[in-house]
Amino acid sequence: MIEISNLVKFYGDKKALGGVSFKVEQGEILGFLGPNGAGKTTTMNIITGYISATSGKVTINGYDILEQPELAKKNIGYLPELPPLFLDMTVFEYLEYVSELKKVPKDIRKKQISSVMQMVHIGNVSGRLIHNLSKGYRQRVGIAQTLIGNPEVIILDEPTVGLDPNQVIEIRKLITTLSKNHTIIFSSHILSEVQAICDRVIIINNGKIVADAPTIELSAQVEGNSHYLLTVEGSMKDIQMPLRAVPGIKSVTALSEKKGLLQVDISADGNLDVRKSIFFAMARINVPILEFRSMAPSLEDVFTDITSQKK
Amino acid sequence: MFAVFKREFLSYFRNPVGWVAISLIGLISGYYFTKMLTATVSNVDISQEIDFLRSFFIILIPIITMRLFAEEKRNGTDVLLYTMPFSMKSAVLGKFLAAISLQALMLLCVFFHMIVTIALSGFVSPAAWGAIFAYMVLAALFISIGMLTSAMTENQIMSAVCCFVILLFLNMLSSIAASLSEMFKSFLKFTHLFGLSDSAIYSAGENLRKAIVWFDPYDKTSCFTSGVFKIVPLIFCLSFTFVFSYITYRVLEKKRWSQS
Repeated sequence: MIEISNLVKFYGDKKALGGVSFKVEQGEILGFLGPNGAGKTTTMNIITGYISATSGKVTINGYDILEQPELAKKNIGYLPELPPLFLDMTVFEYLEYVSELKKVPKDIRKKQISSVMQMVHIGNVSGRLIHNLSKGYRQRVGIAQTLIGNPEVIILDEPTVGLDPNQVIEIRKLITTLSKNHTIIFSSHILSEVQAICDRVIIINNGKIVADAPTIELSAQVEGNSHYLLTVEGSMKDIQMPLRAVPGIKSVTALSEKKGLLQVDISADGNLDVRKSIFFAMARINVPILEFRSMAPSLEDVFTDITSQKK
Repeated sequence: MFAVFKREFLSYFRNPVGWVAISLIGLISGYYFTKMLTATVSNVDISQEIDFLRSFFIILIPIITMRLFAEEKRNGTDVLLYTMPFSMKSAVLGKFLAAISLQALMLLCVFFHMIVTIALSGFVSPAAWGAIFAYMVLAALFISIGMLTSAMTENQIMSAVCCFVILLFLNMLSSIAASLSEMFKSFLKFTHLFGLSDSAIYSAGENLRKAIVWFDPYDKTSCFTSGVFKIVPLIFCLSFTFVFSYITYRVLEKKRWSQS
């Protein structure tokens, strides 16, 4: 479906991408994960033909994006981070403009627009100016735009950024629905989001792919260690030994110590539930627990985990 | 191409720009026409009116063209043009046609004045049609310049100012040429550079002036206004229009290929 080989991109002297290669099969939802500035957007811009790579090759459905751009682009719907919306148009006018640009035959244009509007639930705002729509609706209009012309591949660049939690859930649902008929590449810097939607995850950092694995495998890797945040009334000296004695705990690091309050980060084996043991260990030495919660693994943890495993 | 044209042309009327431009031209031409009509010896010359309107190009063209590409870049909507299955050339052509159509629409009030003139048993000379022709040909040339400045920046104001400066320069080209030729003549006279005779210095200065004035689009198209059709000015304007539009296309494509 999509084949990317050895993409390199320089911005002046700065290397934004250093040899990115991967393949996406038909019907897959690929999560593209990485911190800001990792090269996600650059990769997506190159795939869609918005910018060119310094070297490397992109083929979509067998068409090279640079040599047969029109044929390749027919297969792509792209939603950049900033949705390309004309604020002075109504939703319907805008979608009509996009279908004209995408050369959708005139006789099926209206029908396609209304079916797309139904799919992303914007039928009720079709006559309103985009200027007057909320951010969530604008994002949906942006997604509708990618669906016009029924392309096989849909590329979404951080589609949930800046939305409120309800809108995020709706957009995620929408992406899952779309995946039935489309191949989707979807970028994000939120780990849980990618875990929730994607079949496969590519993690990119500093312009290089650090991991490329099915989501389940990656989750297992990440869950190898679990982290807890503990705030107690006591000192590091008091609690260190008893905590270390708990089976499963790998390390205890002090985060802050102020006015007799100590905050520590406990890293433990993910396969063992150490919460009870921690509680009793603290009770035994008469150290009151003021706060105790498990921390979801952050993207940074994943990077350190994955990169350290590679070494 | 038609999609871009339609969107761009209609967007002139979704914003105040189109309305303001048309009413401005309506007001100015109306004033000029009324003045001609109500003079003690009523002498209506439509070609003069259009000639007068041409002097407002310098303000109108930057306003009409500044949005064309700058706004799309700023709002990120240019992504659509780059990632859709069609060529950037059609986008440039579509936008150019939209701007020139707005110019044509502005001339509607002049047509209205023609009808009034004929209804009052006046006479519309062929020179008027020549003037309209010159107006449109010049508009095409200037719009392509404005389009280029718009493609080169993200800032509309910047684009308008650059376009204004270029048009102002073209407007003053005859007087610039005259003063340059004077300077050149006196330079030759006082330095005795090539030991030229007075008449040779005079003709050298004159030729310099002529060479510069050759590029003056106003001077070039003045024959149309007096009712004479010549092919050279037409080719001059159209080829420069083509060149500027082509550069616009290349500037836009550069964004795709740029490695900086």
